[in-house]
Amino acid sequence: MTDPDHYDLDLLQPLGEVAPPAPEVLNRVATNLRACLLQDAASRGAPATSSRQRTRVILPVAAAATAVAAVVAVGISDATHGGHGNGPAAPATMSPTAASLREAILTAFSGTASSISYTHSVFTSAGQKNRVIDVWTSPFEGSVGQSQTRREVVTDDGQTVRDTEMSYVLPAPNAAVPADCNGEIYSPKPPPIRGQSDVQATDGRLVDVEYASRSWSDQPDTCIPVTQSADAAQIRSDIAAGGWTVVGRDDVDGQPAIELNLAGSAEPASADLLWVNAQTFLPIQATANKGRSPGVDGLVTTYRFLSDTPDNQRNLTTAIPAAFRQTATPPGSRPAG
Amino acid sequence: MDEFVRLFWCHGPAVHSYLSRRAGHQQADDLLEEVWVRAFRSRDGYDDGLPALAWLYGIARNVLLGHFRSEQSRRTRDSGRRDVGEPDPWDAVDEQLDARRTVSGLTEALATLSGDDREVLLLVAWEQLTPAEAAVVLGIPQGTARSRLHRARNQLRGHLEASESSPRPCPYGSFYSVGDPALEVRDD
Repeated sequence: MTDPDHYDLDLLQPLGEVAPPAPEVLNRVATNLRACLLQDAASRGAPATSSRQRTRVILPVAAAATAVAAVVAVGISDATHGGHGNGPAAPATMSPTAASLREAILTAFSGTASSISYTHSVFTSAGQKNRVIDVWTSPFEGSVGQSQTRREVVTDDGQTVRDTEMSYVLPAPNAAVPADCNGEIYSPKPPPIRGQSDVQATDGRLVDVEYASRSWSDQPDTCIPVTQSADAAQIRSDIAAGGWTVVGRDDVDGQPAIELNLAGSAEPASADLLWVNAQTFLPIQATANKGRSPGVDGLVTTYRFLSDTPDNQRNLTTAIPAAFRQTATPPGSRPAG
Repeated sequence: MDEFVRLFWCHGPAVHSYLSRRAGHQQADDLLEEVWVRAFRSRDGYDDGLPALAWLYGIARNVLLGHFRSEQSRRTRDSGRRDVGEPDPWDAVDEQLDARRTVSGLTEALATLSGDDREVLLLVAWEQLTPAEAAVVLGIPQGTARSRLHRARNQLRGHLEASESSPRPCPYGSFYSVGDPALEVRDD
């Protein structure tokens, strides 16, 4: 050692030899630091007035580069509104936290990939609530070749009209569509996703309960659409694409949330606005307005992620009423969308 | 990626090593986050004239002292004894070193140094800081850091030289200690 400050101290080096930190330790701290950054950005705004009333905080960047290699600080101005989608659109600003937020959301998604996602979508038409679709997917994010199960329950004006359970092996993104998918698809077909004309589909098992005809069928090998409008996997894809903006902080039913505007996404997004939990970074709610789906004025989807327990797995099984008769083919050819 | 997170990826491993050398690997895993959260919260007070790593070591040092203090309180409470004052972080370092059974002469030599002198010495030797940076960590004038380092060096060297010239235990039994005429085996 030639450095005069360090010469003759080589002998102490062996005493100071320690193992480097494990990557998971560093990842954990980095994730928590990102949470601190985002919470700090949120806490600099005014507190939400109530769980019902949303408080939107715009996030222009003050970009306070302090000497700790320019630590980011975020200045926030307040703007309160009674609900999203009303009033003039707030100017969306890309803040430096967006990059961290993207990483945090994707990390959160990865961390919960094996869980069961539950989405509750409310479609409105002419201001009337007329259709609700509840979807459970397990695992919510599978890899190619992995089995996935999905259950969809469609309710119109409070009456269950269809309950389907689908089991399939996740196809590769570029896999050819099975031949039977070229014809009419009897399994529930989601409303088309904006910019996504061809819904990815594969063959799988479908248990289909039709309430109008009081019948049900079990199709071991039929065409099943894999993608679902605004489902958790689709939202993940939207986030990964980037290009969206952070609108501000918000409060969704008592949960601290960060509101994102997906309109500017690099890829056509499945929703207009998305709220993610400010602590877990998992999606809480997404909204889409007119133009998303034909005949639909608005779509509000709420998200929950359930642990993979036997109790929660039971949500993935269709309920077949005792009086319903079994048919050889899907009784209803009417697509759910 | 935010600058602060980038700063963490840059200096996080070094701060972990700093903690690990003084409190052990497991404790370092636990304390690392506290150091960085504190750094994040106090970032507005950061003086941009200071080296970032030295500033972080200063925070890590405070976290360590708090940790040692609470550990000592816990031990005192468990043993039913009265508090004996400020803890000496060297006790924990010594435990770590003992656990690894490394060069005992060096650990003894380091143990003879005052806590203040030893801290400067180890910041320079282990963390590869300059005396000026060590001064930042400890919140003391640079001149004080240099004089402590000088004193620690001399004392360490003196201790090692003395121990090298003193009798060493014989590996074959107590009667054959080298250099002790009183214990030499006589033929008569």
